[in-house]
Amino acid sequence: MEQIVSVFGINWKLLLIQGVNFGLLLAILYKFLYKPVLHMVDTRRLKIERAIHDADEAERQLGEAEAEKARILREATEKGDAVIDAAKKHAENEEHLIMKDAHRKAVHLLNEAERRTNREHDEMIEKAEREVARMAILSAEKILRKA
Amino acid sequence: MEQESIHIALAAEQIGTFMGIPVTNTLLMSLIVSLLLITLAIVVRKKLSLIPGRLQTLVETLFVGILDYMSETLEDKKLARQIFPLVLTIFLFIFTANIIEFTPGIGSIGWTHPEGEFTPLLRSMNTDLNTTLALTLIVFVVIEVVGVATLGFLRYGKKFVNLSSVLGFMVGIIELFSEVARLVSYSFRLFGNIFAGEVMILVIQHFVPMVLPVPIMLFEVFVGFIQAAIFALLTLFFVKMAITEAH
Repeated sequence: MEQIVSVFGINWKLLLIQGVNFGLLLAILYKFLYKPVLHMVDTRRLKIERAIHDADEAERQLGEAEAEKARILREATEKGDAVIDAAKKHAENEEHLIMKDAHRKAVHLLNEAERRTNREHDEMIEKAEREVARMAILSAEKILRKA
Repeated sequence: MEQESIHIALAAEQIGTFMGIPVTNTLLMSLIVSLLLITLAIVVRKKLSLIPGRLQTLVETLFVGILDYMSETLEDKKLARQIFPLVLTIFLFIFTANIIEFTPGIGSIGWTHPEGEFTPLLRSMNTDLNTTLALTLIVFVVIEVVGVATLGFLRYGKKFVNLSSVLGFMVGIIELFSEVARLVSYSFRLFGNIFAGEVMILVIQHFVPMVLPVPIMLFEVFVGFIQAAIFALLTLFFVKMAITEAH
């Protein structure tokens, strides 16, 4: 054992100082290299995680907005169609009514006109008859006077 | 013609004394490696931002990859994060020391004593058993502490002292031996690999000074990486074994 120690030059002071040297190196590297580098990696990982989470959230919100938009559009279209349908039906009804009304009025007017024409016709004939009668009487008188 | 012999010393050479502590060339080298790593850390720290640059991306990818692997192995995210600095520092410390071991000047700049002996100013850090043994001791202590902290003293102790059966007792003794043998295997594996590499290069340089050492150096850098990875990975695996309860 003694021989081994002397041949290899083992010295407890050297062992100790080498150990201390290594310990010091370990401490310095820990403080200046391992800790900051790993901390940086962790920070970056956290940041990326958050960014991905945010992007997912944004995409989800966008999808929701798209769906909402589509729903509103569909509803508006449906409502518009309904309004147009109702208006059309209403207009048809109205048209019908107006036509019927107009027809009735026209018939009425026609009747009225016919009646009036008839009456005037009767009156004229009557007047004419009266005139003829009067003329006849006058002529008869003339003839009688002459004779 | 005078043939120069290869001088190989298992022990690191002492280059001075500082406050009663013998300063060896490997100790100086480990200080340089530490300074290099601290400089790198400060450079990365200064440029750190939420939108990463190239260096930061590289560092982050490595860290996160290693941390994920550790979490998978330990099946415990919190413990993985606690052990992470130790495992990574072990790897970086050993790896950096191993890749700069062939930098010109290391091992060649020094002085010659009057007796003709050459003392290099710098010497590859892991070719000193003091360094590897110090690292091993730290890892050993950490493994035991994590084991006790996770399982509790009694349940952790049960791994080594099991009185429920004769077989259990024997297994406990073997466990205890392998636990202590780990100290030796750990430190000598790293020391042996790097030291052998240095010696091999020295020998080859002695015979073929040009060209041939280059691929060998390349291979030794690869070995340096593998050894650093093994040291760090074994730390991880032994921690995993320490927190797994004996059945």
